[in-house]
Amino acid sequence: MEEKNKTIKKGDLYLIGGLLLISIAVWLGVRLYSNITTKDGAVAVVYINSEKVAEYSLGKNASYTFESYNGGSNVLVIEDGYVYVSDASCPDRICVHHRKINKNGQSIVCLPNRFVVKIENGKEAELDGVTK
Amino acid sequence: MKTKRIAFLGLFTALAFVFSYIEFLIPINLGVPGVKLGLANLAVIVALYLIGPVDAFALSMVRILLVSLTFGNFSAFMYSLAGGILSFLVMFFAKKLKFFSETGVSVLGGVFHNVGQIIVAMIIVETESLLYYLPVLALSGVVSGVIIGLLAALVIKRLKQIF
Repeated sequence: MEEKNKTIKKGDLYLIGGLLLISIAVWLGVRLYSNITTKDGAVAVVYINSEKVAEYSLGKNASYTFESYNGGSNVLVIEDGYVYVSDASCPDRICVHHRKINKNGQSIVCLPNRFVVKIENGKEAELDGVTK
Repeated sequence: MKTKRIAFLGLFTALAFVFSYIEFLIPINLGVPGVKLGLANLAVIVALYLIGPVDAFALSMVRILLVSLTFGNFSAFMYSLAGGILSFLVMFFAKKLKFFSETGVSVLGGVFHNVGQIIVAMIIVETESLLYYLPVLALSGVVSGVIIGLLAALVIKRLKQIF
């Protein structure tokens, strides 16, 4: 009876604790995985509406403007080995506020413009081609 | 009882709408998209406990429609709808279990709201890289879920006497 009127039940604590543990563990795991698997030749790959449109080395500082889905635009900047979006036509501008990325598997996604920039290990694929 | 229900629903739909507007005014920017306090869920949970699942679901859907028409666009509507429906279903079953209080129900609602949105976004943009956001969004769902759940419990305790 007493359990019924409590503001927090035992089940809540198990749930909160469990979810916190799992998400922190997965988050750290993902970070670790990204760090370990990032190769020197990592590249920034741009997809618009699920189609690969460009690939850039992270070694060279540059800025590119993309015509995205539905007439939108996104400005991609590569600076000191990091990638970020400096400007975009989308209303929420979540991609512009997104932190810089430089590790394998990390990405910045602009949902309204269906614009995705993703860090991939481009060199690795090339090496595979050579060894074959 | 009928008049009370209509008045309550009208009041809480308006409240949920205002909560969404407040969140729209003060965006939380942690460098990851989708992190929100989920204030509007407060109204949905209170309705779920005080007037029942059908009305609470209607309230949630009307709120999403109103907010999307006012501030958003069609894609924002799709994400909200997916998040809203999944989150509601999970909260509905979590409440039935009697294993959780309002806080646990709210935490599950917060987490699954984000899960629903990510699933739709992954389908639309066809990129699995959005999964990387899941642990961060789950974390933010837990934190906001606890806050909203505790608030909801306080409100429900006080409003129960009227019903």
